[in-house]
Amino acid sequence: MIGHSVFVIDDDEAVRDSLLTLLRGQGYMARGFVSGLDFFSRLPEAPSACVITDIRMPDMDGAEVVRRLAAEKGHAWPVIVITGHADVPMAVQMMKAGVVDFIEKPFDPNRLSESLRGCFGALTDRLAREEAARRTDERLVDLTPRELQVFESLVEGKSNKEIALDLEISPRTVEIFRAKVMAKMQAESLSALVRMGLNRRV
Amino acid sequence: MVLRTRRFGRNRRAPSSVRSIGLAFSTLISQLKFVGYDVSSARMAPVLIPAVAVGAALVIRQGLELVGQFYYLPFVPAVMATAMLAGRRSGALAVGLSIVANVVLVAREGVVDTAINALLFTVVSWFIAEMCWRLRAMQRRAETLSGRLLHRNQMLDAILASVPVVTLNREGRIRYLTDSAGLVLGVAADEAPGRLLGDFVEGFALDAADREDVVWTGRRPNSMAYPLSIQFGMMPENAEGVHATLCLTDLTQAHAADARARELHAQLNRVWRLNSLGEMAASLAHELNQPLTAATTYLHASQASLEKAGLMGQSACRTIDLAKGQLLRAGSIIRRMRELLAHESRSLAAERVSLMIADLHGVLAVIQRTGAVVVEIDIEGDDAVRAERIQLQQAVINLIRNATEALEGHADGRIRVTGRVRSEELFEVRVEDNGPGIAPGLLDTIFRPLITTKASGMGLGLSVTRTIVESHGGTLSVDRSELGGAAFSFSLMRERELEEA
Repeated sequence: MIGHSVFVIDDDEAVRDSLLTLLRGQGYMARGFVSGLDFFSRLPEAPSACVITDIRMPDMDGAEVVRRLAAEKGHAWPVIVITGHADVPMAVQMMKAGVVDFIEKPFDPNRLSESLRGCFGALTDRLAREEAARRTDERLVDLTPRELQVFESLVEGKSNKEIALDLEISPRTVEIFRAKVMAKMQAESLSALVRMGLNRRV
Repeated sequence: MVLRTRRFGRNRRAPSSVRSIGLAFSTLISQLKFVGYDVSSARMAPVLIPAVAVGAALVIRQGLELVGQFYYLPFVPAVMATAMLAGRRSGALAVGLSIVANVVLVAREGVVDTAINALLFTVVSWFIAEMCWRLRAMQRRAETLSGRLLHRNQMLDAILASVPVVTLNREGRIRYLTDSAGLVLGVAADEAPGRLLGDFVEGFALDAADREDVVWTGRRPNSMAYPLSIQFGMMPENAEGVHATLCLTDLTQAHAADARARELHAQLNRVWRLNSLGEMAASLAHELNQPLTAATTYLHASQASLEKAGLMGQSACRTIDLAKGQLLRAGSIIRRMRELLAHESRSLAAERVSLMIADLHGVLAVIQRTGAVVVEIDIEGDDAVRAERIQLQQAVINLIRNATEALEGHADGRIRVTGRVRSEELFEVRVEDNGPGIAPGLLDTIFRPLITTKASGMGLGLSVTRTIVESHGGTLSVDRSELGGAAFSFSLMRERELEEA
């Protein structure tokens, strides 16, 4: 959790400042912005971050912030909405727009902390999966076409015999290919190999 | 003897003269045949009529020769006949032809005698012809006048038939009433005469009838009471038996329309109060929630620092927990209040924009009168939309009131309400004025509740309007009107099934 970036967009000075105090106390790198326009005009550099935004603000409202962030940063920048003006249709609209959480003001700060933890947890998982997929891709480059065929068949869960039938080679040859694939992909077991393949597809 | 000689002389010459007349006629007829259709035409008539008349007189005179001498006398009817049938030129031609015929046919003693006779004939026959022309002119005028009179009579009848008019004698008895007056009073037009008007109108008295501001109560035979206004006209003394004419107006419909306008006005006021209360609550909730959030968060942050102080801080942490709980309680109180006042999810129904706005005409009339502005309504196209009637009327009235206030002190304030189909799904309503418009610096704040640029007012009008529009799924936007002032517009969802229904 230490070192994660959190950006707070709220036009109310006190709300912004209190949130920044809280978040910095919890070890986040937190920055505040007066409005959506302010936020996008000096968009911070960060591979991933969590954004906490109000809805009713001058210049650009929260819904617009959510839309623009989804378009520019995708899932790497999850959004938590906090509002003192909540109603059910608005909450539904926001959840549909892809926000992670919708919290009504005033709220128990623990609720926000949990939400943030969940956010970054999901984000870390996601990043780890993406990293693994990237590594798998790098190793896949070294496979010969025949080895690649065997790899894909293994990921699909086929047995050696089935693969031998499909590729019209002997089961013995399949075993040799399988050993080569395992070595090249640096997989300790068959299940590790299958996980690599599945991760790539997500 | 002399007479006889002369007669014989004339008789001797007669065959040649008759022959010459016959020749003249045959020439004339052949001429007429030659011109064919022109015979009956107006162009030929002024010549033809005197020629035929004088010719006929000539023939008659020749016939009368057997009985005695008639000289010019037979030509007088010819001139008369011409005068009756044609104009002055033809008359002059007839006189001339008669003189020529007479001079040619009758040999006179001397030039003087001939001239005097011709002159006398001219004077006498012209006098008679003049009388004929006068007579004809008078006849024509009489015809035109009676034609006009007839037309006016018909018009008067038609007007009277549509206007409920009653005439009364001095005692207040009905002398005459039109069919429509009969309809108003609930009596057949031929049964009413002779009865007192007081039988049909409660407490009617002639001496009070000229008070225009009184609304009388009419009572029809089926005992249904109705409001009645009476316009009074006193007749001059010489009109036989008629003392007064009364024009009746049944006010039932006007009163019903008044009542409807009053009811709508009251309803709009009620909705306005509720809306503005809701808006205040929402605004208050928003404004209070901010400091509550900040306070809770600050307390939480300080708790985190206290925890580092170990045991010493623990009891303080618990106290802070209690404080946080109270702040959150304040938040939930506000939320509950807001939920109470918040508009339930709107019950939108199929409505037509033009009808909803037409319904406001009573309210608009008051606004136009008191604000000295002109409100134009211009709704076009298929205006069936999904809306909550009273709320939408409230939104439109709010925008019109807003425009009226912006136009205060403006010489000829104009407000235009337009409705147009914008797309398959949307119908746009626009309210614009020719006032000063909105200063660019204020554009951000005008929709905020409790912020106003006016000396009086709470600053709720536009924010209530926006809430209404948003609850209809639209957005309220503002830009500059081509009239010069501000233009507020919003869109409504079109209702496509209303037409088939």
